[in-house]
Amino acid sequence: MKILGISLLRLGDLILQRPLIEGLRKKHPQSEIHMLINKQFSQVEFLFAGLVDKFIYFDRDNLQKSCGEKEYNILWGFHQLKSLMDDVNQTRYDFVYNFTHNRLTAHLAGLVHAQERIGIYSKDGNFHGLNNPWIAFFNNFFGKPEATGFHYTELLGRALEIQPQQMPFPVKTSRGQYVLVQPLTSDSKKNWSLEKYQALVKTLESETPLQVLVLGAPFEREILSKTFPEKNLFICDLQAAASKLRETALLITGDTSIKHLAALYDTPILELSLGSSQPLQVGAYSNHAVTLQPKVQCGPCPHSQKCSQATHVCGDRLSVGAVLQAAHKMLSVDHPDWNRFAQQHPELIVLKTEIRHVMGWTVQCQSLAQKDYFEQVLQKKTMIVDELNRRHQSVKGVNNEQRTRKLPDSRAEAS
Amino acid sequence: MNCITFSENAEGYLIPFENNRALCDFENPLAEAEQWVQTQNFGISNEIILLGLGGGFHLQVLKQIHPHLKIHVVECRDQLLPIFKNQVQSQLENYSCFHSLESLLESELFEKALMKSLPVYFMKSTWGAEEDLFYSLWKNLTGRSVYAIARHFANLGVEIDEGTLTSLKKSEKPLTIREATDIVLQSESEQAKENRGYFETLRELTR
Repeated sequence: MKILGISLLRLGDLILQRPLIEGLRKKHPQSEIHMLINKQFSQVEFLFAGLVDKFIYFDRDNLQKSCGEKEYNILWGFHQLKSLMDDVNQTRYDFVYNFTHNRLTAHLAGLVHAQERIGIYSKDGNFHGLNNPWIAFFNNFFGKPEATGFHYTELLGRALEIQPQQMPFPVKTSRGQYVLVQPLTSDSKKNWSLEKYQALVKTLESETPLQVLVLGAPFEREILSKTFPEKNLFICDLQAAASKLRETALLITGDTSIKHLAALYDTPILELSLGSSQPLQVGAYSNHAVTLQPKVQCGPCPHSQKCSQATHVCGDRLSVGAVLQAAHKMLSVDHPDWNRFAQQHPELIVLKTEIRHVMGWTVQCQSLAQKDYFEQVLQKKTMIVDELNRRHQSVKGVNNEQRTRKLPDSRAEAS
Repeated sequence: MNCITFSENAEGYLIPFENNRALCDFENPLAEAEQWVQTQNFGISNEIILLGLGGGFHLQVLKQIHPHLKIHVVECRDQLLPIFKNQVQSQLENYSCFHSLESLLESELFEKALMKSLPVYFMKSTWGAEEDLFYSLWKNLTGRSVYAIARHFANLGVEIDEGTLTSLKKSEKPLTIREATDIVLQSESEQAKENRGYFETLRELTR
């Protein structure tokens, strides 16, 4: 059996999808799994060793340039795309899974010759696949308040009928020797100030026996080196970051792909949720993550817009002291009392993630004032799960394809 | 015909002028050429078209930095080639001089550009006073004119309906992948239906 997965979102989304690929491998252990991903993310191959048999690259950069830049012939992109799909279609796939869920990949999924397509695909000018109520729910509500409490990985798994599987990792016999700090995210409004991170790093260094390192990609070196001394910098590629995370006692980070990578390796995570970060939908898919989210009226703010405030209110409200205290709690061998921490910091919403056997991924709110709200979120999630599962059972096997009125455009992405 | 003259700069290079406008940087033509080459994306194809010879310095630098490229040079002014051959490079393969758009459209180079979707590069200063003609050549060589796109689609077996053609001809603007997609979506031909998905995919990349 041959399976093609199409995943053309960003790096963080690819990492978030790993449990689903693991689940796909478990579902079809004898199959050959191929993945079509963006060429610029080829560095993730190591993460899928043993799961994915072949990677096929989509040169999004060049194809996008060819649609507008003056040196390209107007049909260059067409010929490149046709050539790519001709190569893909040398293989007769039994299944095509669309992990990306937008119009771009729906069209691509429609161009693949396959016996069956799971997820959205386009054919004869129409979009298909939305008769699956989980896919319809994902399409209509992911990223919106109605889907609060549904983690991206699980929601996508339900839509594609794949049970997410945690990566098998060796039992840790000793605590990690590092505290890693990942200060920069892809969006400045999600960043805590570098000066505050600087104060945090200095204090942690003096108060723990662990080595404190500031993580960054090569293109981030210049910015980071203005704030942190060379001895604290760990500038590396993704694979080196993964190696380091395996030996790390705690990762302190904003909403980044490194957070999702740490979750794969069961590294404890302290997430500083600022700006447009959505911890209830794309928080760490982990049993060992705590999120600190400042209580502000303007947040979480929309992804695509600049910060609407005169100052970075959410970042200002998150003090170095609070983060330091939380970090010590996570590093402590004692069972931390997060309720007490939340009482001491009423300016914050404190969330602890958990993956439960039946309910799946969930968050426990440690802040008393918000407890009721989060319990309502959990109850609502349970009701939605029951209802959608019921509807899904009733439409299964019915060949009833619907045209959709709305599908996310190709910019839609989870993280 | 415009007046082409040559002036010698401090380094002894003859710099071409058209109606008293230099066709490359007078003082540092090589530095200008190097900067131009560094800013272009030559990773698209091993065979390219260079539109505008000018002083030829950018061609010289391009050949030094990317010796593997097969370069088709297109000019419209005969006077530039002899000076180029004397002071830059005695041999110039794949050179064409078109004095009109019509002569380009009848040429083998145009056919080749259609078949292979060759990328087209230019250093704007080399266009001088012939900007309109070079712009028109660029539009056609890159498939962005109504005539060129009709030829492209004819090669693919996609018929363009009369209404679409009429509508496209009303605008002088270069065509884009969006118009190309509209053509495919509005065509009734089987080839259009078979290729529809590719154009819809490309159109998503422009959103």
